[in-house]
Amino acid sequence: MTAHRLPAGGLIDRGRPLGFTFDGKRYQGFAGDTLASALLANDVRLVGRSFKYHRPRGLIAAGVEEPNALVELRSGGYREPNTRATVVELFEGLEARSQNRFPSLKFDLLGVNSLLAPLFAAGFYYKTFMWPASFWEKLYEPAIRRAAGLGRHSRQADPDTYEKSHEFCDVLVIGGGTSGIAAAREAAAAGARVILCDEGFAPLDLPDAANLSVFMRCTVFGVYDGGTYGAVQRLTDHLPASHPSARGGPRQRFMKIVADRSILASGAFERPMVFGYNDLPGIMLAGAVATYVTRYAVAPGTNAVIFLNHDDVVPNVQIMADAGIAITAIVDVRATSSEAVRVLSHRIQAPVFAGAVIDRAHGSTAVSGVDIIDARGTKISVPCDLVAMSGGWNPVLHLTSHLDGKPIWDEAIAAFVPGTLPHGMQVVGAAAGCGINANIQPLWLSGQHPAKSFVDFQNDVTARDLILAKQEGFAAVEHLKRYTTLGMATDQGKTSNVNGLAILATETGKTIPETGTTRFRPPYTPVALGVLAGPHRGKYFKPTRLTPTHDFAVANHATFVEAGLWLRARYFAQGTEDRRAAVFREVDAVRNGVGFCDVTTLGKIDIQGPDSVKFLEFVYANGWNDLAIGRVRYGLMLREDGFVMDDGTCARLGQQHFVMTTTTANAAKVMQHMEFCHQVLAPALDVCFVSVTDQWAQLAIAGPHARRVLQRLVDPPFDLSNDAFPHMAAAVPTICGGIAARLFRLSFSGELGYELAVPARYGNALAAQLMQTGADFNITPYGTEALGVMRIEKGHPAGPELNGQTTAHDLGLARLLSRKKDYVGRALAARPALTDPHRPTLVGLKPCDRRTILRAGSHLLRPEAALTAANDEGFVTSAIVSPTLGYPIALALLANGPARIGETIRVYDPIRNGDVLADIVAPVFHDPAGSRRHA
Amino acid sequence: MLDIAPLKFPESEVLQSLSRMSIAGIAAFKGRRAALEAALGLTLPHTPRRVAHGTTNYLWNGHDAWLAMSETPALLENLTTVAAKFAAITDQSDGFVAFRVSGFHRRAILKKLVPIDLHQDVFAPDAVALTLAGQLPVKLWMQDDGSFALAGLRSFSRALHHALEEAAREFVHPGHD
Amino acid sequence: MRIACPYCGPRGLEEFLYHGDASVRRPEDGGAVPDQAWTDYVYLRENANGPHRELWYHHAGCHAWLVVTRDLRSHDILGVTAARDEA
Repeated sequence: MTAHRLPAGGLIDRGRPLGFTFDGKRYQGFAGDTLASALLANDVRLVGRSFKYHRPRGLIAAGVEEPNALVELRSGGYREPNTRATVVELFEGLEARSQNRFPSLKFDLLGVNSLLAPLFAAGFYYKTFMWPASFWEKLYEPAIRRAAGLGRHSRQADPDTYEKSHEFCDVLVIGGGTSGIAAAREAAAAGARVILCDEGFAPLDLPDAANLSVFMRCTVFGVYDGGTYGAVQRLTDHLPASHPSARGGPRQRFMKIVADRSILASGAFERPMVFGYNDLPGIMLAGAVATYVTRYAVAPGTNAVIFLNHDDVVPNVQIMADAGIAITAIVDVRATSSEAVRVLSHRIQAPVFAGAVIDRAHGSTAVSGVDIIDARGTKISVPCDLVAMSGGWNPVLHLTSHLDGKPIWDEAIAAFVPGTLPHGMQVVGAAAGCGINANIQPLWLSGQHPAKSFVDFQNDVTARDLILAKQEGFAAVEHLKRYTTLGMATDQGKTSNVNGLAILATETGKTIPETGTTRFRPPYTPVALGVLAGPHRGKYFKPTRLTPTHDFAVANHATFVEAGLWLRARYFAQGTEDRRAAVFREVDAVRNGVGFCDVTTLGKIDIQGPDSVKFLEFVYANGWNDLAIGRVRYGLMLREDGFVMDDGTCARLGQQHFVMTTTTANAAKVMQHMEFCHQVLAPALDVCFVSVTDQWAQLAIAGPHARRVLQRLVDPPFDLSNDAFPHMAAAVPTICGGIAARLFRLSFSGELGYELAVPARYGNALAAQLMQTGADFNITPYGTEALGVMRIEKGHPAGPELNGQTTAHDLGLARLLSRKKDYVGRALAARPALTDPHRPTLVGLKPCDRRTILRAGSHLLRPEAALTAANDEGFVTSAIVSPTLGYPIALALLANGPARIGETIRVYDPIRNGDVLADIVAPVFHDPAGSRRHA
Repeated sequence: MLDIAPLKFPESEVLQSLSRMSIAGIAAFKGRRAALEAALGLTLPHTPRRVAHGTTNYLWNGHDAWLAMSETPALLENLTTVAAKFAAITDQSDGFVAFRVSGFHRRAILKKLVPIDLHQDVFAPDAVALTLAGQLPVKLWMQDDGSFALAGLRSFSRALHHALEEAAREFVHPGHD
Repeated sequence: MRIACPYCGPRGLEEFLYHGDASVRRPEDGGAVPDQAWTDYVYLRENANGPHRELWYHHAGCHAWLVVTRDLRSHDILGVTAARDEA
């Protein structure tokens, strides 16, 4: 046994043994162990194979900075790769697997990479596997992908649920170490609302107080503007799946924390030493060795060589010695070592090699010894099964630079310390560089084996790679990172960044401050995408918006369509009807009988006030001064750049009272635009407007029998006759015995049409009432599909034509552009380029054979022209098979369109194999005179 | 008359629907706020607060705008009669659906959805907030009994209820109703 | 990021929509002619690197349009006023 459990001590609970498996083999640990400490306790020191070279690897650290021991946890949809064994809390039944090895850790076939290692130096993919070119996609890339890479994704949906939470406090303390606890105590005692977050699970010595919230297993992963912080709390990852809390509850919680001040007490990470074969299992950070001893009662070896350059290591070596680890040699870089080391050496009877370095380690799947080069240059080989190294401590200052603060190099302690801090942040303890690296003499690279001296363990970046990068001209630290991939793995360089850029500095002859450092960005440690989504996933990714006739539609077997967030009835299939049959029946019913459709989703804005008309004149292109009370008018709204933004209607219900409608898709945008026009552009106007989209259920009732049906609902003495209530009239009758309503005579379908609005609570009831009242006319509910078919037959522009790139002229609506007033978009709409008739302009198309369907998106070219983009003259915007005409039709935007009516055009759709000739016609196919809506 | 089938939502000991109320939007015309207040016989809140006047609650709803909420069906008519000269009055009784979140854990439930500080020292008993619950805009206030009320757009009522129900799940014990 | 709405108090970014530069002024000539002043108003913007006056819309709150002065380097918000209060 090399690594072993100590007979006493540690913060583990020896009364609670826990069984777990690693790579299929069963082991035992205790409550309080991590997977890492439990593996070491069982003398499992080989825990992974490296990313590129598949070298055997072991644990080097005890915490979140561990680069080697990446394991895969859980199974099925819960399977998660790349978890550091050092942060996995052991539980009964835990199953973990090593990664990146085939067939096993011990006998990894791809370990043969080592022989070919020179081919895989930094940037190899820019220099190799280039010829023949065709081999890249078929052979090289798939092979490289299989050989390299870290964990595997389960390829199943994440079955866990996650939660979000909003927290507010006066002081956020990040880190539950000595400094963090002290800061939290002090702030809470002073009466502040305090939150403390600690990544780990060891209980903290903090009082119970109403103003102090402690979140364990919680990582603050990002600092954001305005004193906001992102944190993830792991709620059930440490529990077996059978635990009651693990079932049904959220796995993790994403906390958005707003804090007036924060105290960063994140401590420091130890730096490895860079020497030959320093990646062998058994070569560990000295502080980690001490942590395994004190916290987990595990000795990672029996016989250690210490490699140090500062005095902080001394107490840790004492801890090792006290645990019975024989200290064979202390290798001290410093020429005359130090007083503290001499005292230690005497106390534990361990020889000190002053002014010495380790040249290389020996061993195959574990370290068996090291070669020391002493002060005179003599090589001394020393057997050992453990190397405890420390090149100094690096303050964990990532969060200080999330808002672009640059760390500062402190020469006295040979470490980066926080520079400019985010607002309200203070740094305390080791994170600020306090009390670390006593008497340090930096050493960035030792030994004569740069190609086997590892700097970034996780991405397999060696000192040789860094030297090569500099030789090839990638000498800026940002280039170094990307060319060598130093610091780009899941550990984000926590144990490699400083060593790497220090070696670069040495190579380029610059100082470390001159070399600089790459930026740290959130997240500090990996964050599951699921926790950021929280409850917003699957069908809850966005909220669903339901119309007031939704229940009626469901009861009548509607097939629904998503229109933005709305669920709208698309068609109502009866019996065995397919979509086409249902839609054809619905259109036929409206054109020849009567039908009704829910149009509640179109935005409705109630406008009141002395300056209502002035406001409408400003936001619409057409005029409103002459709109009488009791009349409704089509309105065209432009953007300030002159392009059409939206269209709708506006009805005058009173001297100072209007109701505007918008398209469904643009309702929110138009509201925002109107608020902008009022508050920013014309704040002096005395007008108030409010959305009433939800207040009113609005149904379109259309068809030759529409009046007859409506007559039975509208309360007398309201006069619905054609003379009293003509096309484009508006009124506020009551219906069904006193229910307040709004009635508009509008026709989107082209038939005699009305839109009836009632308070939304009556939506379903009104639909049911219409079915009953109109039964003898075979009244038919119709959906968005029929609605769309009929408006295309009438040539009414809608979404596909109002695409943000069309102008009033393009749509044949130039007559609506008032010449008498200022309005939004007036000036730039008059730009010659926007009124040029050669622009794609609205026309109708009919396939010459009156049979072949046309598709929206098809390109339009002259029949004799070559099929090139240069000859593309427009495209089809809306296309249907017309039940009314009996053959396919389309609306399209065609260069100089209206002038070409009567000509033939080629409708070309190469992606869907469409290629057909069509007649260019006027963009209205049914009742061109428009007489039916005036019936 | 048309039948109303009221929107029904499952309830628990921490989440209930608020009974149907009359709701009216009030937006003062320029320079008419004082006249409006005189006509209503009360001082309207000019910051996000609510003011009770008889059985009607007036909630701040934006600059120079309020939502009046009352059990009285004649609310709209009454307001129109006294205030239509000074303000835009709009019926909003069907525009919103409201829920009540109650019990010891009400803040713990709401903090999962609402991005503002609801701590008892920060959110006053007569405070009103126009904010989000999850992805949905809501009007949020505290009722006289200390429970929280949230009003959202009617078309989103099922979505809002679902979000509140999910947030409350861990605090609802099976067997209670 | 947080913006202190003058009506509602400090709120998170998720409640607001960004519009753009607040310092551009809509020409007051009625727009009869699409001249340079109009093109500049719609398209031309200073690429500022420092304090920037910009318009935000409190869409999930009180619907107020706000003029926010924000430093584009540090993201510090130096001031917030209601657009309707700026003449």
